[in-house]
Amino acid sequence: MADQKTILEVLHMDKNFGVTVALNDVSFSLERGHVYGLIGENGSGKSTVSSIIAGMQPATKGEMTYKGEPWKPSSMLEAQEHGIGMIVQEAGTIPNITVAENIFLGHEKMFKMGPFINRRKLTAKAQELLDELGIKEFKASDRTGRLDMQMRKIIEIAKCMYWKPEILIVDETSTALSLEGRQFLYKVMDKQREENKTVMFISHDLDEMMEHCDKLTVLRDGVIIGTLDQSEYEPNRIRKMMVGRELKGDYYRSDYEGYSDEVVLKATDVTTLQDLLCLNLELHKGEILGMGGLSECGMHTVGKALFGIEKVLDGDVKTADGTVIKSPRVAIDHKMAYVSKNRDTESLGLSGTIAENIASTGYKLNRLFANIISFGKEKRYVDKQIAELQIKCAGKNYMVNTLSGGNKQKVVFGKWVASDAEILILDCPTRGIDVGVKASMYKLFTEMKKAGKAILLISEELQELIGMCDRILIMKDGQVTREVFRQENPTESSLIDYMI
Amino acid sequence: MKNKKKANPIKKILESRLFSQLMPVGLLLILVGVFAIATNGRLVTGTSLKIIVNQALVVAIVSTGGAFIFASGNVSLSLGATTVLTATLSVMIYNATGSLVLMMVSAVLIGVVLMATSALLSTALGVRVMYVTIVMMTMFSALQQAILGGSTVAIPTALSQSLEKGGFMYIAFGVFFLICVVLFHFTDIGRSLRFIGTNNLCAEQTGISKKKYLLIAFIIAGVGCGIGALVAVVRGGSVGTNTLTSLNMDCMLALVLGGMSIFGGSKSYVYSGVIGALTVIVLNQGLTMLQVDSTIIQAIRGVAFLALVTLSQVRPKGLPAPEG
Repeated sequence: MADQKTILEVLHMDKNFGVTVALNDVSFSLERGHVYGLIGENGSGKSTVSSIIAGMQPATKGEMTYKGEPWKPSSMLEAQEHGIGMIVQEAGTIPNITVAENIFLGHEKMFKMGPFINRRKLTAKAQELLDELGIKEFKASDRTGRLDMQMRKIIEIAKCMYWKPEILIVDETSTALSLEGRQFLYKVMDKQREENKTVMFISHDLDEMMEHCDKLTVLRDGVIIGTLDQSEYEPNRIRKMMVGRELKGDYYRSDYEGYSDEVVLKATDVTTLQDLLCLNLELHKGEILGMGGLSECGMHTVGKALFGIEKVLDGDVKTADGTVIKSPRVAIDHKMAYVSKNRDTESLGLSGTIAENIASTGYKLNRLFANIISFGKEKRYVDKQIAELQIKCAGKNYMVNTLSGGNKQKVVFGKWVASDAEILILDCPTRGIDVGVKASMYKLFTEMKKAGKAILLISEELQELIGMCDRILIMKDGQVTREVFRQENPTESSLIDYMI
Repeated sequence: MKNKKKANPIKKILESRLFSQLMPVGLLLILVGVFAIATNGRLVTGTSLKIIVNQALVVAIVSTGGAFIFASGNVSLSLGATTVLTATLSVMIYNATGSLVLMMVSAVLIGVVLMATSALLSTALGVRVMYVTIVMMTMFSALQQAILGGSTVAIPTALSQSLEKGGFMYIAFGVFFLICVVLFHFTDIGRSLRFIGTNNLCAEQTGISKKKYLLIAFIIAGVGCGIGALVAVVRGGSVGTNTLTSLNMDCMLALVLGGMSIFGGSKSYVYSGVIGALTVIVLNQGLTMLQVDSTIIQAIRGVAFLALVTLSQVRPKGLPAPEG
């Protein structure tokens, strides 16, 4: 029987997906009034264990007790009603309904009036909740699809908080949030702790984990490696526990090598229906050009406009030979690549295989003759990327949705690296991936730069921009308002000043 | 790397690629076995089997072409109506000109034009393929009815008999199927369509034009409708308003019974139409031999279709897909 302080106990939990073991004899307990951090590389089992606690899926073996009673939730709704709420890693809102309807999704019966749902009451209740949480950016009656990803995450937080959870599970939510969004989340977590409730926090950002968690549990390959108290926090030690080997603290570029004068991509007075207004930029051969700004500055639309996805109403985007980029096909034919911020919805065919995703950029390159594709060439094309990028998978013919976040991102990179793209537009490429994968990504960017490739790195992580870029463009209200050079050694606070 | 445990061998077999590919063949064999026993061997006599194969040809041809559309995650409901209208017009062309070559060429062209119209309308109007094809299906059926009224059109019996004896049906099917296998599994057409079916947004951002490949898929399906129409004319000799009325449902049922996901993407196979067509006809023939009422047969087919669509939705996430 658990004591009063212990709210949840996990005992000898196993979880298998076919032949793959995601959790192996995992045991731990959570006490009231604490924020617990769960950290580990992609695929270490963090999301699996938290999803089992929250009722998303059952364990293969093992037991759980919650408030001293056996705990085996059959659904997330059941867990929510019993006081365990989870903010999921992937998008958890439905776009074509209102914020209020999303908040009470599955619980509409609460507002039943005869055979009908009292929408006015539902919206009023949701608005009351938003006011209580201090959310002013949107209203309960707003349509969810009109809000950006960050706001949609905040809806999920609100949805979870309505049930006043005894245990709040935050699964990689902060990666989708900007600075302001993160502050809001931390406030919610602190309040939980103050109210003698529990938080289970999952993130790849080691700094935020060390700052906000009372204890850190490290998972690797489905096994608990250890649990550290705050006094034992030391970044390199935690990284070593996560990846099982020494990792240098500084994995950014340390050089100040410049780039060629040759402009490979030029945007002139680019204006789009939303977000961009007379945007100008030049990307040079061998340059890593950074782009940063506050969440609404329009930087994510830049990537889409440069790659021909977003319609350019005025101005143009041209390659070195003067070709105007009007569609992704034209961009790809001119050796361009684009990695979207929305990996799962735009950059990957989740229900497709790893091989199919990587090979999707190589249909022309892997031809035997006419339109006939050489299976041998295609196999080599795919195998090379899996080996070089060290994609952890059971086999190339397995679905991408069986991979962890970091490995999914490696597949996205694999398809573009394989196509030998010369100009890479990367929108938040390291979002939601662990330090080990991040380090290998940064190494890859540096190698690409040295090989003369041009990279536009759009990022919400200031350290990443400072550490990796030759030049940083700061955007505000759809325009570039500031240009900062690597030689100026910018700091996070100076960049924030420029953004505001 | 995640830990590996000794897996349950049965589970391993169920999750293997080979199993998912062989399952439709297994289902066909089981069905043949069951009906062979139930009909005291009448289903598996030489004559009966020949009838099954001949009956399956039209469904196999049309659904093989339709597989290209289904692979892209779209559903066409006008395959049947297109085939029947094509058959009607091509017979009329033969009767007007007396030219067999012209009848064959025009059948393929009419099939292509009718199907391509659906694709063009869908992309031009931005309306989902399924809705456009519902409209086209109604229009084509109405057009055929307007042309024929209550009558039928027919080619001379001598012509249909000589074509049937000359093996026209098997040659037409064989050539079309081989071309489709090459296009679907060995060229970027099949790969692009499957990738569109997996995630069309991602496909667009990878430079795969949804409009272009959808048009190609409909053109191939149109060729299938044209050849299917010719085979139907050769087999039946005539075309009326009651000809091939359940063809569209047969094709959809054939594709899912043949192992194709109704949602397209990775789990799409070009041979699904052929295996599925045989399964559908065995099911029809077997039940008919057991003197099951035709209304009940329709209901069984409907339930089978729904069950298979439901099953394809709950297929395990990690199930490997085929190469090529």
